[in-house]
Amino acid sequence: MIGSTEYIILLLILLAIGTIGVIIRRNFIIILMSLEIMLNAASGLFVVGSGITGNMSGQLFFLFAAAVAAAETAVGLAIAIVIYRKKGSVETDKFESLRR
Amino acid sequence: MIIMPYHLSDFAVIVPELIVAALMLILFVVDLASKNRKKILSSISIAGYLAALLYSVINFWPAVQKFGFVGQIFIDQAGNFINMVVTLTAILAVMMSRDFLDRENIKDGEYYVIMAASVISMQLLSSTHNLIIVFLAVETLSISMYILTGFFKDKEKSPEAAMKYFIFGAFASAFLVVGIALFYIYSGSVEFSGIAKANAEGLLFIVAFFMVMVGILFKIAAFPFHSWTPDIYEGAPTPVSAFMSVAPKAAAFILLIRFLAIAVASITVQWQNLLWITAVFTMFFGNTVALLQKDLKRLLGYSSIAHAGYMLVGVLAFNHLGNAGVLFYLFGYVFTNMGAFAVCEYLSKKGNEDASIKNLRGIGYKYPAAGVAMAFFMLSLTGIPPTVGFVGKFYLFSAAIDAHYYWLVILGVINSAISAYFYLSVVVEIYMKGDAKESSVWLNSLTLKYVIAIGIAGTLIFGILPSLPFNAAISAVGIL
Repeated sequence: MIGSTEYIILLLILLAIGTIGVIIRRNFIIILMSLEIMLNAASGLFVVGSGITGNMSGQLFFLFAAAVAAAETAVGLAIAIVIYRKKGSVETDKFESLRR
Repeated sequence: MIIMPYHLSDFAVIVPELIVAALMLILFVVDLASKNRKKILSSISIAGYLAALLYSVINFWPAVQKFGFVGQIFIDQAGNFINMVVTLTAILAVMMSRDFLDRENIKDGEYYVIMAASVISMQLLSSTHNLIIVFLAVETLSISMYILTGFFKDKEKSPEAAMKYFIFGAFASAFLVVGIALFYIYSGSVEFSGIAKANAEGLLFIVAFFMVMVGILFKIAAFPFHSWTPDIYEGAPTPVSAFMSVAPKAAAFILLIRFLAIAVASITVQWQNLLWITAVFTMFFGNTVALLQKDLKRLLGYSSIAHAGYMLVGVLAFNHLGNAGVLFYLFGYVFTNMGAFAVCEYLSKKGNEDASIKNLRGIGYKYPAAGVAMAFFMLSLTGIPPTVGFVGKFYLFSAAIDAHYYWLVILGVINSAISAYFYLSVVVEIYMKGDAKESSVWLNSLTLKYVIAIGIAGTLIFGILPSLPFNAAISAVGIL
């Protein structure tokens, strides 16, 4: 029998995967994917929370989170295109003009 | 049975947001409809923000919280105060952008629309006790800011700054949303009052608290989530840096104050310890690293980190004087910081993002007005009377003394002394004998000069007569 604790642990593992991805990967597209994984973990937590507490605002939140994640990804990809045009690469290491 | 989730009268509580939303739609239509307009969009923006500002001023009294939308959104004095700060900042930022965008050959249509979107999100952020609305507002704000940061897409630094801001910002808001989710799982509620009822002993509660704090501290650029600030301020278009250094901070600070005072009031001692460390590190980090800076916009970035640290002292005091001090400080910071960035922009060259302090050498003789203005803003940022920066720091530190944080005040004063070194070194550079750079390229913009004039006027008037905004702030923090 799988209870809500297992779901929470699963989603926290998903969050950890996303976090590690953002920290160690250097490719902007992969970072975008990792951020998406983190947001999905959060939405999942809300749905689980809705099951535990028995009110619907958690499931409602998922709809918001999905819309926000889409908007964020759209902007992220737009930034990726702009920086690709500049440097021909989306590796974050290659961008050093702001470092002193 | 017909369920009426909301009534027409609910819309009375979101009038400032509605004004700016209407402005946003008008900007869209005008941008599409008029082909050869001449900076009409900035004029419309200024008019719209002015309407929202006036609404907040007129409806500032009486001191009540008016709820709407099933109690999820409200309007009160603190919200109105932040509305004023945000719309005032937006007006000044638009005035700074007006000729700047023209000179840099940037199409201004989306720029003003996105700025209006960010203003709406900040107004919403300052008028809710519901973490879902907080999340939506923070995300709208962040996404607008990513776009504005990268708006100079043909330049070298701007897209890079946008990329960095995006990675850091999305990371922080992912933590914010996980924190909200954990609060929801733990307490079954996403409202501040519901969270406050939960038993605060649980591990999940503490974890959720930390995660939400990550999101909020990121927005106010406090240690250890400050590292994005100087890079983004340097890379973003100057009016955007100016806007970003004041308005989102104002919204985030009122959110922080409300969150700490209502939602997690049961762990006051613990969050005070946490914030003590954060405030001290934020002040020291901002001020000491600023000593090494060669670039004016980067310097102002580190300075804004330090000022966030001073304001955290006021939050930490956790009394009326401290909270009102934070609001007053933000109000004064609008004039001082926008003015400083405006001078920085005034002295910038077309297409050149270099804002080295070295370039300022001798401008005090060549452009006496700009030199005096910059020197004056630097004195205000240092906190020397008779400027608003001094009064603001005075209120913050006296609130901390009232709350018996003597060491914190001593450290804060030491920090002010450190900051005097780099602020005054800018002044020294301005009045250094030397050949000012060739003169014909300074940005010639009437509205930009008005911004500098408004900055000086506000810094001076509220430095000498602080009672009007301060009394408003004191009244505003009576109900949070």
